[in-house]
Amino acid sequence: MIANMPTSTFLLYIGVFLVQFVFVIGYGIWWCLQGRDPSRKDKRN
Amino acid sequence: MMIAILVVYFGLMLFIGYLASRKVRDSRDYFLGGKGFGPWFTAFKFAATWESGVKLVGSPGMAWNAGWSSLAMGIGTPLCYFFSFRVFGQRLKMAFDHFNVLTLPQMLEKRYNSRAIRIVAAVAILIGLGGSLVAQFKATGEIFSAILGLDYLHGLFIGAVIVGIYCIMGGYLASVWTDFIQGIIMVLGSIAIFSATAQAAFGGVSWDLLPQLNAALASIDPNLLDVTGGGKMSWSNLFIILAITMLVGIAMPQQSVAIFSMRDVRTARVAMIVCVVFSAILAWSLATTGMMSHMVLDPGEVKNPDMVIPLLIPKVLSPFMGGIYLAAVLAAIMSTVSGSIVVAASSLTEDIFKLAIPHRYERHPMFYNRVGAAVFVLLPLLFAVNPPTIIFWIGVFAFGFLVFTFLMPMIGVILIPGATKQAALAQMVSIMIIIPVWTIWLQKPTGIPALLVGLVGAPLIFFAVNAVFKKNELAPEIKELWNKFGQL
Repeated sequence: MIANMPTSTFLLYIGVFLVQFVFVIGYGIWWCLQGRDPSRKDKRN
Repeated sequence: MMIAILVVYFGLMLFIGYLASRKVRDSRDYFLGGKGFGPWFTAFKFAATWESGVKLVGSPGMAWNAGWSSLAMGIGTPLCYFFSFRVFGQRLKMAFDHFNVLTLPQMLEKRYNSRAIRIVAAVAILIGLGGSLVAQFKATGEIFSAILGLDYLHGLFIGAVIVGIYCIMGGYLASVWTDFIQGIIMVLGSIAIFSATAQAAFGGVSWDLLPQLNAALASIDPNLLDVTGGGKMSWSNLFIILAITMLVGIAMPQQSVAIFSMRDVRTARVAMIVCVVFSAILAWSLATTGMMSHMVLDPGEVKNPDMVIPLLIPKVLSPFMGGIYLAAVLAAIMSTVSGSIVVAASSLTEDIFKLAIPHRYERHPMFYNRVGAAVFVLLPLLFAVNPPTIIFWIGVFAFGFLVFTFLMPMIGVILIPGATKQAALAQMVSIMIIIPVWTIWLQKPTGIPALLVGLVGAPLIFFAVNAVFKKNELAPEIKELWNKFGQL
């Protein structure tokens, strides 16, 4: 039991948190910080 | 007080529709808002259209019923945004601009060099979105009537007239601007009901909230702490839903239009983060609110899980905040409806009127655009009064019908340079027959969900036909597009 909940449920709780905040938001921030800027090339379309 | 807030909210939506109508000059403005939206507008448009009113009422109800296991749905939505913007989004935007078109069927026509594909795609959008609009209008009528204390017909009429007026006046621009305001209201409403319920249940939000909540849930029903909700959450269904959720951005026309209308491909990066923050706030606040309701509501008065929110509002929120939450629920459903109306109207006018009556359409394009939007307000409104059986069924299969009709042809646009028009057309037509037939006649006897049939069947049909008609040489325009993809 962690925080009064079964370990399997706690893993779900942590899993959802990790997917949202580490995997997608964390990756998104890293992605935004990448230097390549295709938008300038794209504006010619 | 609640009614006053709702009246102010409705007035604001109509005013935004009026402002948008003054900025709309041509079809590009009317159906794509001028294709100049930055990450915030793109994100709120995409997320508010996807996270419908069902979420603001249904999520707390599901958490009341199935406890922590309901949080599993929270994994799907961020993955939906990741796939929509990161995996598909930039290439989709690039392809849409490369072909210089206004609608998804036009993009498919140019990619596959086939007028038939454009017409089939337009018909699929008219059937799928038209049918789902009837279901959405029906939900609008039910939610409006429950919230405003009116009968169903009055609720339906008020909801449809408000969303109809701002969509007909301002088109996609009005839809995006109202979605932005509606998204903010949804976030504020969710945070408000979460903190008010925590206050009523445990004296406020604190670091001990999680163990306190779990101890209380264990004493009420230990199944609420179980990872399967005591068997209430079907993990096999959940995996099918997760797989389909990832395809929403590419395969649902009312979602992919938010990607087409971005200012540039880089917009996708910040838009993805904004979408996930939006969805995370809703997922955590609404799921925990539903579970904390056990400490606030008398179990005897909750006849079904959807009653949790209507019962909770007067108990924990002031009339002012109650009005904000009700506005949030209405906002959520109106944002979903407006997205569908504009995309369905674009297919009717740009892909049907323009082909059937080209000279008349070219003389008065804005008139016909607004007629198209009016058709998708008035017809669903009429059918929603008393839906005939066929319309009821279209509402049931519309989601799978749309997702799988467009799945492989759209993946072909951005990921398969050798995709052929025969494969795209065969997949579209087969799925448009298989999904309705399976849903109505075969789903029950076989026990196999139509969504699973579509998920497996669409790629199988596409790749089988593609193998037969595959050409070794790519068209110059496709080569040029793939060169552009290489710059990403």
